[in-house]
Amino acid sequence: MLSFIGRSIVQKMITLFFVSVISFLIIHLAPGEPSQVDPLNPKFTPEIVERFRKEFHLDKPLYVQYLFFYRGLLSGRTVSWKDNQPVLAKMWERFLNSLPLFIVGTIITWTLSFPIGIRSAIFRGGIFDRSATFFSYFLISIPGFFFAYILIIFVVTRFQVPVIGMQTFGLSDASTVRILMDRVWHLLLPSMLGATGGIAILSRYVRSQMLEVEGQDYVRTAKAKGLSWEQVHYKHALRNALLPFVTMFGLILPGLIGGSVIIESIFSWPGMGRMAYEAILARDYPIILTVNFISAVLVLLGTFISDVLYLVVDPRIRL
Amino acid sequence: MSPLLSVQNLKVYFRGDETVARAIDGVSYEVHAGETVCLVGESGCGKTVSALTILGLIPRPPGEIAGGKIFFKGRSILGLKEEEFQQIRGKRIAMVFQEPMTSLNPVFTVGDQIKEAIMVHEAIADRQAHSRCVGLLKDVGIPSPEERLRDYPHQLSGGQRQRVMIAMALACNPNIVIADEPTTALDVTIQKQILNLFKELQKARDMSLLYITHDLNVVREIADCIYVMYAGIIVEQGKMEDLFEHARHPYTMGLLASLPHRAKRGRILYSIPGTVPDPAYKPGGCPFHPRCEHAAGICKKEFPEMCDYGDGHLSRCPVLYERTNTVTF
Ligand SMILES: Nc1ncnc2c1ncn2[C@@H]1O[C@H](COP(=O)(O)OP(=O)(O)OP(=O)(O)O)[C@@H](O)[C@H]1O
Ligand SMILES: [Mg+2]
Repeated sequence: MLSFIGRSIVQKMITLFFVSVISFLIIHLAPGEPSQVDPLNPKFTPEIVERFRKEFHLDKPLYVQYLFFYRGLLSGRTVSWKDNQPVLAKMWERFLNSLPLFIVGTIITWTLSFPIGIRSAIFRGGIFDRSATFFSYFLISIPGFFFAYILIIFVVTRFQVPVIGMQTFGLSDASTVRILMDRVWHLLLPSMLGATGGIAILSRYVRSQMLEVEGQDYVRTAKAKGLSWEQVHYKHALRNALLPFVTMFGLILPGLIGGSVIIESIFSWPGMGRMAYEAILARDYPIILTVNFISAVLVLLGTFISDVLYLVVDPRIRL
Repeated sequence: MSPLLSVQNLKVYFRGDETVARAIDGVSYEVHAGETVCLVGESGCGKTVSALTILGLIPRPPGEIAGGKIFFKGRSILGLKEEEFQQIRGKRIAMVFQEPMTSLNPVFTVGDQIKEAIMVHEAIADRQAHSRCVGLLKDVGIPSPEERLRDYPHQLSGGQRQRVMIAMALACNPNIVIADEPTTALDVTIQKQILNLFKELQKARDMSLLYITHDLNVVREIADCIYVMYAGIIVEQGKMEDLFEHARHPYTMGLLASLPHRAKRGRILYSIPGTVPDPAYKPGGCPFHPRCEHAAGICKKEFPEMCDYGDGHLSRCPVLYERTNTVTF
């Protein structure tokens, strides 16, 4: 067990190194440079561009730039090229904005997908199953932004509440309850929208897992023992059907940072996804690379957590 | 004495999109208390389906009970409600399945799974249930039972898993154990051990055994009565010695002739020509006639009746019946 964890960590460090090299190369070898974002701007004289390049080491060979960047990142001194703010502080602020959206969205997704998928599988072919199937495909195929606008129009006209942004400005004098409700309203719609796609896909996946397990011999054995309906389905079948989702549980971690660019843009939500998107447009290398690096760390951490969890829940895997 | 279990003219169909597979098409058999009954037949003839129907485990749909009755201790059990069936399953009638490798739940320990089988039917303390489990594993010949109870199924060999399945079936002292080809998935030496285990347990516990197999050598070892199945019907039935000595149905004769020890040295082993019909497209008349060397014109047209040879020996072949009678009289 311990040796597995040790080996896994070493492996992930090596992977992380290669990820850092490759993402660095991809960003730097892509056409366009930060100094050329706005070539028509009369202020960007060749001298200024030259000074800019020198200041940010863009005139050095790539491997030197690589070392400079990751030294800066690991010591926490990297700054955004756009506004000279420390990257980590900027990201932290955005991260805190994205976090509630992510948490509420994930909770909605997981708490709804499982009951829906399990029920569909147990009563396959029934009315519940067929309507769940219909709505899943409906939600998967409808474009997210379109659905979002319809919902916004509906909520705003029906309930007369503002939903764009994280909060309504100029409310600071209002009562605490009022402020709280305002935040909740702002949070609810984008996280629900973020969750719809997840629910549609995850509930299908739960259903197919559950269906597969229901056909297994050991479920028949459980029935032949005289166990009750609940014990057969919720104990013997469900326990096995849940195993693959333990892996997925580790993999939702990277979602922390990606967030949803589309949802955050539609709702003018100042989160991580939007920051990354804007950084790409501005060719703000430090931010892009930092987001990239942290995502990679989270992905590797997520897979590590799933591996360990699998070890814990599946008795067949012993090292 | 009335039989413990009696299946009467049972019909189980599986409805496909366009076809109806008549997996069981009018099967009757009886199991008396303390008796070992063998259900013999080739793969696909409906042995498993008939066993599952007794326990109410046929998936519906696509399965469908198209007719017949099943009595257990004189009580009709075919139309029982799910909750009533749960009282019988495992407690009165237990089953050992064909596939020991996949019939145990991989995420629970062996001990948990046996204990569960006891505690679902009996209100006893956890400790008592545990010592019952230890006793059961001893009974089925598993060494160091205390440790094995803590094992997960994947830690056991196929033979041991089947022993665990048997222990689980015996957990509540059922009146009947249905063993559905319990040795088919095991290698030959283990097969012999498991078979002997069944023999011993059946004697020691004085229970009834409905043993399903396609292996006539096994049948000779344990059966009191034999029912030979072909394509969803019983073609011949009778006491074990009687049937082995005086088989009256061409199918049974073919099965017996294909046993290695009956063949003469240096001769190619006999095998019945042709294959088992698809239950969705069974030939009319006698379902065996396309493969039968005694087939006459009538076999294609008329479904054969059971012919009585006395002493419980019945055979579904009027052609041979008439021939024997003309010879005898
Ligand atoms: N769930 C099902 N759906 C459709 N058809 C089925 C189903 N279960 C069984 N059948 C059909 O019923 C017939 C009898 O199957 P059964 O499993 O009883 O055979 P068997 O005699 O036990 O054979 P084996 O020796 O291979 O176990 C088969 O032809 C099969 O196609
Ligand atoms: Mg079978």
